[in-house]
Amino acid sequence: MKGSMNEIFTVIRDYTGQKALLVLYAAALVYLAVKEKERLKRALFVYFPLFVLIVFMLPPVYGLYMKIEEAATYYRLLWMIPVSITISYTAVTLLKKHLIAGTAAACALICALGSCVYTGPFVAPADNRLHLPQAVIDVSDYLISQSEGSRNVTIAVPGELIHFIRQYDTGLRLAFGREVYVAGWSEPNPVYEEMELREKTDCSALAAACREYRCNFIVLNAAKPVAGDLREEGYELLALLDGYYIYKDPQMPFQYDAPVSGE
Amino acid sequence: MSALLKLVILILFMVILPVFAGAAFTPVIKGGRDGERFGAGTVVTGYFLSFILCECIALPVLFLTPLGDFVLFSRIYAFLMIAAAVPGALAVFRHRKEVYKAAARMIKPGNLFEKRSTAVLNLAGAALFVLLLYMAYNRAFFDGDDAYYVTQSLLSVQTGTMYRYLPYTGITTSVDYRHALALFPMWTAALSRYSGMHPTIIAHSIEPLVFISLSALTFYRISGELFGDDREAMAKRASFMVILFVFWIFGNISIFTPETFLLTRTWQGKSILSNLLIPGSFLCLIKAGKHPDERAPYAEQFLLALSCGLFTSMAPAIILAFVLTGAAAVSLAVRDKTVFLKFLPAGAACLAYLILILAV
Repeated sequence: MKGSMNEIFTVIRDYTGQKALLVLYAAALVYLAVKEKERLKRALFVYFPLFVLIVFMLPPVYGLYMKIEEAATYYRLLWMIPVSITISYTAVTLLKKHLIAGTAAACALICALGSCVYTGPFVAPADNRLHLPQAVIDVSDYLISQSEGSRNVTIAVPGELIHFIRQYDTGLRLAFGREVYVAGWSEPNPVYEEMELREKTDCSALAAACREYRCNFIVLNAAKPVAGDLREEGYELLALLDGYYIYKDPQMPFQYDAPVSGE
Repeated sequence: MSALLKLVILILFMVILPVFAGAAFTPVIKGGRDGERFGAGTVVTGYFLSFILCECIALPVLFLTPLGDFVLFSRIYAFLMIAAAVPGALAVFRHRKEVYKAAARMIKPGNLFEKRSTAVLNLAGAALFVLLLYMAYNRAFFDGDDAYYVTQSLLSVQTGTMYRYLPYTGITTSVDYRHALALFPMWTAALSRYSGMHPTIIAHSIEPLVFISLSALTFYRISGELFGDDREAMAKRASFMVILFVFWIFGNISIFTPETFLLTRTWQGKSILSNLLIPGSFLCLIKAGKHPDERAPYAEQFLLALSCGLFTSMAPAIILAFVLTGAAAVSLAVRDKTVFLKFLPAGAACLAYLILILAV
């Protein structure tokens, strides 16, 4: 029971990001509990969210959830609490006599206590309308042009590209994908181990692993140190493109699947 | 196909057909009163209808056809969407004066700028809304889940199958029915097939414009229930929306909040759950509390519940819990047990999804 409570508090702590923004919600909740006279609004803004929060904190509920879903998603039950509506409604109710100044003050408080989504580490100006790194598109287009019409090409690419390549073209199959980065999702993958887990990529071991996975191409980040040379392993260096070396295995034939649909 | 033609076709299937389908069905939702055929609810009704159609067609195709025949699904979906929208288009034409009045009522230019506070706050809200759409269109947000969901859409477009290839690597697989039941990537894929536009463009650049707008519309409707929609309430509603939009932008206190999902993962089913389905359910609850004898709140909630399984496998459970608990709270508040009873069909729709999920 104690272990579950610790985990639940960890979920809440992670959800709040240890920022003070949700203190605003707590304050709004208290204000409405004291001042809100309409029964319907009290029910939806006070009693219902409190009920949800209490149920969320019960270890048996957490235990039941874990049997059905992953513990990592337990925080989604907190989405049932109408945080943004409550804060906005309370602010307007409190500040209704000085709406412009009050709105500005409320916004300033939210800015001070919150965190701007547009300055986060995972956001950048879009290179293109697909919102994929332009290097992904350039490398993919080049690989497709070198594939002699095959729509069943297997490639080994560095980890920073694996999330994006197949969002551009699914004719490019990956020796390893996102599953290797999430613990418990996949079996050991020698191509991933050689490309990502070594400080210096051993070209001989990488070539052997890629041939095991029937890779037609290998893409290497030009900045990553390597031991040896893939050309000595029988690969052809085709291009250096957007900071990536692109190698082709001439020994690996291209696969040509029959189309699946009547397209 | 030229880029302009692609965009026109996309707007047709993504916006015009759902809205006309909503116009066709709004009298059913509202109890047959033609005077309230057209309004903000029309738009939302139309989208939920399109989502329900998508799920109802894609599920049997997924289960019953070899390799999940995506081409068959997309053809049937297009046919049914057009069939649903044609009566609405005819109704809009027949009642075009009423449509104009309803649109004028929604915009209310006189009321929007009547008082200084209303004008300032409405302009601020409009500016923030445009900023949200601009940033959604011009910023790339990295999320690892796209390697699954967006790739799933592209796989269907490029292979003509549904859920027969692993998105991460491309090797063939048996269907992961648990994830496959949330067929929202197929909606994106269908739009791509009709328009010829790359599904990743639709997901990352276009869907945020639609879903941020739908969320904003839902919250705006909530503000109408909280403050009223008379002239006096306009300034308060504008203030509500301004504070809400700022909260959306600065609500990125962790990667787990609905606001983070709304602005960085808009095209994913989980974001639609937290920013459209749950607020939509809140709206239905408050409307039911204020107008317990009207049909619309319960009908809208039922449509929402019918569509929720499209977005994520956990949506039926969350919507079920939210609606039943919220309905109980509202029933107690207004001292009318029929409110709770009238939400039971929506609960049953969620339960049907849960049974299906457990069965597979």
